[in-house]
Amino acid sequence: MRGMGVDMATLKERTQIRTDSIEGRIPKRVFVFARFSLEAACGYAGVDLAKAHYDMELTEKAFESICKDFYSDALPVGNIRFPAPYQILGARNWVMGSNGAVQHPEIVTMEADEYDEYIANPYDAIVEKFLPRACPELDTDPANRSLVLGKAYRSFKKYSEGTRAVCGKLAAKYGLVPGFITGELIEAPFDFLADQLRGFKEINIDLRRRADKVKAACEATLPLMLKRAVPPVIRPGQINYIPLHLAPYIKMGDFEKYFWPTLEELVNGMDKAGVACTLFAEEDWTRYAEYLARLPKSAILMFENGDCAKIKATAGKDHLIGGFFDPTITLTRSKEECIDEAKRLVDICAPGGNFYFAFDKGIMDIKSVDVPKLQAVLEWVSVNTNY
Amino acid sequence: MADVLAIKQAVGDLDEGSVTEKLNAFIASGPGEDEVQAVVAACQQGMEIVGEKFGEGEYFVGDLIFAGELLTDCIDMLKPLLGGEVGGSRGTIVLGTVEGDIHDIGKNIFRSMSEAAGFHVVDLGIDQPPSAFVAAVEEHKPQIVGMSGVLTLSIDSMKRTVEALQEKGLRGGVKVAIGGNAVSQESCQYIGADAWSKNAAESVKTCGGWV
Repeated sequence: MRGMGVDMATLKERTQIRTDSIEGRIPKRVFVFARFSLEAACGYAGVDLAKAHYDMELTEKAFESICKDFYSDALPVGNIRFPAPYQILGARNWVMGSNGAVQHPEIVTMEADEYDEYIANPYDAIVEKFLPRACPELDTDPANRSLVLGKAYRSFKKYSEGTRAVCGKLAAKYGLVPGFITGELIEAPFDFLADQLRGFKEINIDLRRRADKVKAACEATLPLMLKRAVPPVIRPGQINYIPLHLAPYIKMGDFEKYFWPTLEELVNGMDKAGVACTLFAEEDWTRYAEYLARLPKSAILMFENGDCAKIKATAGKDHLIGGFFDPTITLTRSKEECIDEAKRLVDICAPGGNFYFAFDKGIMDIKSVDVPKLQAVLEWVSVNTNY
Repeated sequence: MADVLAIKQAVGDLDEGSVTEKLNAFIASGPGEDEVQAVVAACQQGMEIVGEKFGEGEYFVGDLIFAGELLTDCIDMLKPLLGGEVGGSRGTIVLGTVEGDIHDIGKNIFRSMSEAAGFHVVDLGIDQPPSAFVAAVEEHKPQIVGMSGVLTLSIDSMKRTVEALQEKGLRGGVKVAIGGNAVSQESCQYIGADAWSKNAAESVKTCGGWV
């Protein structure tokens, strides 16, 4: 299979295609950015996920099996959700399911009557009140809190640096270039408020009962997100990642008033500082495509669902877009039908450039796809999408 | 006598201020039990309006969440007038988020809407293995099994759950409805479920047609 082993010409070509895609030139062919989680990689490689979470050799074995057997121009593996630091913190906002996958459950760390306190001083409120609620091991005396935080940070560094080393090694071995996520993970201020403080249910109730507080809280959150998004020293080619969450679940009017303004300001702020970002539009963002089109061109877009033709004609005109391809169709359709679906997507989105091929979301469970058919789709895109 | 149509419409419009005002006036009028039952039914019918507006793209998931909250508040206001009991049961649904998935928002929306529609719901919770569904079906003898999942890994768990019901000879006795971000017509077919939806209100309507 192509993609196995490195040769300089391939690496050079991939780098050029990636650079052309980012800089708005029509590349030689469509860039392939496949994404598999550690869970999926372990399932494919027959590696015990529970062990791989704590063992970099097993992580490497799992990741390598994906790099070896699935075509992708970008490194198709990575991980940021390490259970060990979360377990040290006793985290309630990231927990492991019975199958070993680390997930974000619904939690409320800020009560409705604490909005004013948060708006007045968000950082203090997070550190002093909400973080100890999200991570009960921090809810202790200052001396022990320091020890817990120190242990958790050390653990995070161990696994994040270990994963980075594994990824670097595999990228070099298989001639894989970075995808479009190379920097910090940031949230839209509204999503941060919803996901980390109020919860999905409560934020939707707040929008009807205390919408003015929601707006003020988003504005109070913006500087914190910007601070994280723009570090003092910006790495060359830094592309932050913003997984967008709540917008598809609310009304257009609420989006315009409460969700969009601080997200736009965040992306503009990054752009001004010279930091690009990739926004992952979870669910269907078709009705917001005109808004996304207004973002600076440094914003790369990744879509889960939606009307790809409409999005191509709006947000995809000046921005690099990708996504839309649902790999689970490989379970129920023939190989030819799966390739036809990829071709349909490419025919709509690729003309004129500004398109890369990606799944609708990273594959989390290898059993949710038919491996040979998925391999055939990736292979087809890599050889049949010349401009 | 309460204006049940106005109450139904106010619930459907998710106009909390108007609903509360109308129910307070109704409660203050000292209604009889039949009248209270009629108003409970009006509130439940308001959910049908919510479901329609969701189907038409006027409402979104956030509105369904608020609708569930509003309906719970309405029933809580009316319950004391009925000695704490509201309505009978249209049937039983065994409900849960499938193995490996810990998301419960969609499940909870479906639960509150199906309870509002008069179903008795046995909620197994999150991350439930096939054996838990099998045990609950054996114990509660439901007409319907509802499975929820957000992550793609839930497709495999749902399939295994249907297979487990099949192996125990229980599949024929129940209808299986699946919901959540992960489901589609194709995954429904693959899983072997009877119906799928991302619209909780539509799923409740489907369940209503089964009993």
